[in-house]
Amino acid sequence: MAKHDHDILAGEYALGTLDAQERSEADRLKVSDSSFARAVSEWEARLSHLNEAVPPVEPPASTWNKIEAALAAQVPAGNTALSDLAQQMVDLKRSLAVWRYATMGAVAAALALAVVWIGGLDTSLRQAPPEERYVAMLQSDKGETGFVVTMNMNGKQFAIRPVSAQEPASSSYELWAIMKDGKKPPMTLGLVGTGAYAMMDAPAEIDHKMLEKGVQLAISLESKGGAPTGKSMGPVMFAGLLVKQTP
Amino acid sequence: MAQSELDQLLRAAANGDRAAFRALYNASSAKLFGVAVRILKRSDLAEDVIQDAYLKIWDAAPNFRPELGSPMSWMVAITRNRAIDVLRKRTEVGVEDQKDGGEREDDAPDPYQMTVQNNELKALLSCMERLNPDQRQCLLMAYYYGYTHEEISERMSTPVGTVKSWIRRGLAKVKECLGDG
Repeated sequence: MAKHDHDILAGEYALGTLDAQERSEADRLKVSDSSFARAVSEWEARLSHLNEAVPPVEPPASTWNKIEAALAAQVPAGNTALSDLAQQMVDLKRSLAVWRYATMGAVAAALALAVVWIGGLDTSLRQAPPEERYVAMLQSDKGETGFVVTMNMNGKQFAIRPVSAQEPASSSYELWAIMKDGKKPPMTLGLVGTGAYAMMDAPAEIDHKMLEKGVQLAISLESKGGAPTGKSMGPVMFAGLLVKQTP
Repeated sequence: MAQSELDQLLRAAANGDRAAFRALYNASSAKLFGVAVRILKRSDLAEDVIQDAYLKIWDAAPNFRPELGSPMSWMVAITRNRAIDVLRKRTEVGVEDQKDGGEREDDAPDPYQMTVQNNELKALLSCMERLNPDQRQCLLMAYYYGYTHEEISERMSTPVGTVKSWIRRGLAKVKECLGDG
C-alpha cells in the first residue's frame, strides 16, 4: 500500500469510520507494521482535541469497584501456567518501561554496578560445572510459542530457534534479557529473525548467580533495525523465563 | 488536572502503583464515560466499555509514549476504540438498541460553539473550517458518534462513495493544513 493510502487508512481508523471487518484488518496491521501503528497514534492525538466539546458524564459509582475487582482477579493465585505467563508479560512490560523512563543518574548507577559486578565474573566462571544448559520458551500472551532459546553456559552462547513467529512488516524483533532482581536495565541481545536458527554470544553479565536469581527473556517489536536508544520502545510480543535444563 | 499531573499518575501506574491509578481514574473517568456514552448511547454499555478501557490502560501504561500525544488523548483513544468495536459488534448482529440517554443528533457536540482555550484545538478547528461544510460535517459525525461510511451516507442522504471521498480528502487536507503532511 502506498504511504499516502496507509496514512489515510490510519486516519479513517482513528476517526472511527471503518466497518467491523476493515477495523479488524487494520488492528492486525497495527501489530505487524510499526509505522502504521505510529500513524494511527498520530491521528488519534491530532483528532483528540475534538473531545473537548464532549461534555463529561460521571460514571456510576460502582464502576471503580468493578475495575478494582477485575485487577485483583488478574493476580494469579497459583493457577495455570498461562495466567502466570500473562502476569509475567505484564511484569516484563513494566520492567522495560521503568528503565525506559530511567534518568541518566540511574543509568550511570546501573553501569557502575555492572562494572563492580563484572569484577566478580572470573570466579563464577571457574566454578561452572560442565555442560550446563538453560532453556526458555518465548510465548505470546495468547500462549503461542514464538521462539525457543537455549543457552550453553560453557560456551556462553544463545541459540535461538523460531517456532511460530512471523516476520513483522517494516519492524524488527529485538531480544532482551531482564534480570528479575531489577538492579540492572534490560540488556539487548540483538535483533532476531524468524527465518532460521541463529547463534548469538551471551553477554558477560549473565552468569550462574544471575540465572539463579532469574533471567527473563523478552522479544519486543521495535522499529526496523532495533530500538535506536538502546532501550526498548515497542510492545513485548513474546517472553519466557530461562530455566535450567535437567540432564 | 494539568497534563503533567496525569503524566505522573500514568507513570506511577505503569510501575504498579494502584493508588495512583485510582487518582488517574478519578481525574479522567467522567471524560471517558462521556465519550463512550456519546458513541454507544446507552450507559450500561458505556460502563462496560470504560471498565475494559481502564484495564487496558493499566496493562498498557508501560507502553505509553509521551512523544505521541498526551495521557488524556491516549486514554480517550483506547476508550473510543473499545466503544467503536462494541458498536460494530452490535450492528453486525442486528441488535435493536433501546437508547436511554435521550441523546438526539441535534445535541451533537459542536466545537464551533465553544470558547476555545486550547491552541491545538484552535488550529484543528481553523483547518476544518477550510473544508466545505459537508466534508466537515462528515468528519465531526464520524468522530463523535463512530458512524461508518454507510451510516453517514444514510444520515446525509449522500452516496457512500461520495462520503468516502469527502472523508479521505477532508483528512488529507486537515493533515496538510496542520503542517504534518
